[in-house]
Amino acid sequence: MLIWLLSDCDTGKFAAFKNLLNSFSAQYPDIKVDFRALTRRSMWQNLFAHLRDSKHRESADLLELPHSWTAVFARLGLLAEVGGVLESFTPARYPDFLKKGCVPEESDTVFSVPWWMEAPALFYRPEEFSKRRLCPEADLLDWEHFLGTCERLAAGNKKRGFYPLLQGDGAGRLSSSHALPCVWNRGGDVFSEDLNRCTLGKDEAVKGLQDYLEPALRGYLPLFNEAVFEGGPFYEEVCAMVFGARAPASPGRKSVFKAVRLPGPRKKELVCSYNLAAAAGSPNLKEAGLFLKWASAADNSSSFAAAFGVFPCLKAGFEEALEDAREGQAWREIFSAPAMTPNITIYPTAQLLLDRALWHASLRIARQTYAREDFLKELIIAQGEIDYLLSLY
Amino acid sequence: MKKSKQLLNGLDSAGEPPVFFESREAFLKGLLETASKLVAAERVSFYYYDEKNALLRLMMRRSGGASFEAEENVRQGRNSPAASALAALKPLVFRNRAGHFLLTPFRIEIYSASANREAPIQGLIKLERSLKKRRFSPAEAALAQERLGGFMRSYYKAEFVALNRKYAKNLAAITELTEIFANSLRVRESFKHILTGIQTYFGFDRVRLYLIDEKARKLKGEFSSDIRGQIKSIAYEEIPLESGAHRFADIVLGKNSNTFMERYKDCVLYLPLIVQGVTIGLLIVDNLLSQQKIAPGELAMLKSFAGQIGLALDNVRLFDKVEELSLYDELTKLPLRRYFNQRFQEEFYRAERFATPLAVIWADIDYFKEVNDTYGHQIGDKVLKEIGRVILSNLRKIDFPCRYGGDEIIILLPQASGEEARKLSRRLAEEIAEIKIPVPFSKARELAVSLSVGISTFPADAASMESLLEKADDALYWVKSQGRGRIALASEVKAEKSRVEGRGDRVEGRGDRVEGEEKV
Repeated sequence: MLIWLLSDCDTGKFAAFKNLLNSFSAQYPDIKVDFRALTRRSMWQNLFAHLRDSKHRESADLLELPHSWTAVFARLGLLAEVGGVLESFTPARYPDFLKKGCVPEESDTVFSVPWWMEAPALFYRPEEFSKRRLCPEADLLDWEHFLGTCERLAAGNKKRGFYPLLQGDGAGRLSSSHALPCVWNRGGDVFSEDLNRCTLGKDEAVKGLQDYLEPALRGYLPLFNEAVFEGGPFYEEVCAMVFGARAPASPGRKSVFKAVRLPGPRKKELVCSYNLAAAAGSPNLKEAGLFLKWASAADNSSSFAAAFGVFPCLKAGFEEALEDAREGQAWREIFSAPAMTPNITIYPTAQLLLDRALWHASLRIARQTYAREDFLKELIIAQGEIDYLLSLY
Repeated sequence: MKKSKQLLNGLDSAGEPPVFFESREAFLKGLLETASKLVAAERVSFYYYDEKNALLRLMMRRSGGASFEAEENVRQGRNSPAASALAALKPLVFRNRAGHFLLTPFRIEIYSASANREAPIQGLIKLERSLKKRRFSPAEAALAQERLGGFMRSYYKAEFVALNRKYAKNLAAITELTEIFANSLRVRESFKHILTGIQTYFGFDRVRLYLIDEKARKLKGEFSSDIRGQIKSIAYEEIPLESGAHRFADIVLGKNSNTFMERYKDCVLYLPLIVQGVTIGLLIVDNLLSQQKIAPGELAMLKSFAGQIGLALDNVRLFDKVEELSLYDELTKLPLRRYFNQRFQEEFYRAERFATPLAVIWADIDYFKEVNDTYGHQIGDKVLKEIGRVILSNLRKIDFPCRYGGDEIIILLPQASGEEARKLSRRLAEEIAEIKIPVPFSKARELAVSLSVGISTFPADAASMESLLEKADDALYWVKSQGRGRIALASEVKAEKSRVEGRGDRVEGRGDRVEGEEKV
């Protein structure tokens, strides 16, 4: 049986998964399991390649997917109904906000099972904050204060290679998952409430995205940072804050960062869940079902999530992890108003288009050729394309 | 995994780089495994240099005994170790507070299908050890450069094999698609075959086919196929063929290209289908949902097929037209006698088999010969055209009309009784009575038309096809003999005849009554 996993900014996930596989193999020695880790883009391309030519392009038996991919791949016939591979699946064991990620729009059929989740947050170094007499509650209250904090941190630390803010992954680019909370801060969103129209070109959304670009434009946040290549960034010394979903730490060391919710007055917090789904065309559906059942069991999912600093999806395990978490208060605040990205057929494509616009903006900012008009033009074109897709699917 | 092991074993025993890889993934895995073993590196990463964006981009990393893809994009500074290694194309060793590093750069010239030219692939392999371990020695650096360089050179072969596979696939596509296009004769089936053929060999998110309806000046949707090859009708899509009405109309009319189109060009292909300089339709393929670029090779190949597809579609339409001409009357748009005979057999068989009624209406246009003689054939044609229109707009889907002869029309009504046939006849007669054909240079100015109708039903009136027609004809003859412009059922005519014969009277004149008959 082959499992496709999504790659992660933290190699800890693969170590955790290997441990999980070892335990599974000990219990089911007859089932041979292999896994492959793919980037989000690569998995997207490989799944479409399989849809195009299933004879020559392999797919996995079991897939780890962002929850918002469930609708599109269920619609394209790639995912097996969970009811067909698991003897029983009890949605009531999961927090309510996760349920929409398991079923395609206007359907009751479950196609994926929530496995683990995370939420974007801001991590700050208390030591650096107290040195500059900064108070996280007041100075990270909203985006304006946050930018002011960045300015004070930059002015107060002239060390070579120091930045007030870094990104928690090596992608080096600005991404939609961190942009969305900024858009929500301004009262904007990607879609209208009825999900019938794209609203990326609306004022609120544009302002929110502009907020998100601002730290990079002002030079507080380096893009495509070369320190990533050279084994860094050395978080403790060269930055004061990190955008991410896990507490950043140098390998083998305990994190010195504390989590707070991303600044801003929004009323909801983005939560991303990662689900397991069996492939409809798999010749090993029985084995896939066994692994799915085993991996989503309370103990296994909790220990797997804990091993790389994320949250399990089962209600009991999630509440326990929230209790035990460092910065429990911050995470409780974040998870008190959870919101997921919509699980509709075209959402992943909309996200690709927004990410493409942000990628171009990142490149232009890094080259110092950024112009607001170019970014706006891209957003308007993306909106047109998304609206067109909404009319088609 | 198995392949990678074979590769490694091969490398260990002979010291030669492998020559074949199942896939790019197998190649990278093999390379990273080899590299980590070769110099006992704890972490090995493969980067390629994205020249366009001046970024080093991670493709795969090996750490903790597992290889995985990860996203990492780095802009290296002018004096950074990576930039130095890439510029000098020599291995470079350095250490910092994160660990010991060995950078092994590579550069190979290879044909790029997307760039359509020889384009270098360059990048580097980064090997890492923690600070607790010893640093990389110059000998290790030289060894890594030599072995990994050899490995990279065999990348050529992997690409060559992939290219060969692609050519083989293209050749198969050309052969099979040509055959499909050449053998396409039946309209609906052909459209489906063409879309299926395109999806089998190219595999787009969607393929849509539109054809131009010249008379209606519209672009009409025919079929669409999704990524799984499922075909559905898009007949509900109709686009006025006017400039500015729709993007598709503009493309067909040769007026397009705005920013929106520019953005679309990577994942949408609009292929006007042109035959002998005339645009007959539009084929649209897109990868909008997946946002995957349509490969330049596929673009070129599909474009080269456009002529063949257009020709095949035109053939299909011509075939359809010829068939229509041979089966349908051009004036009334009603099927001709030859087609009727075939359908009559089928319907009669069905009625017999399932014991359901079958009614036959035999109608005659009153004084049609006189209309032609008095007002000319042009007016006669107009009469026929109007009558055809009225008949076609009043029938059920299962009814089958036919222009049987000059002014004779027969309508088959499956599952209908005589009374139901009479109701329909009455409706037709009423609507036909409303037809007013202008006749210039005539005192009358307008020509009114009426029908005489005879009706027979199976099994009530007849047990065979011939007899059923005969009975309807008899009833019609009766009506005509009674002065025209009426409807008569065969059963009524029979009863009337018996009555008259019983009385010993001769049937004569307009005043004689046929049961159930109404004057129209």
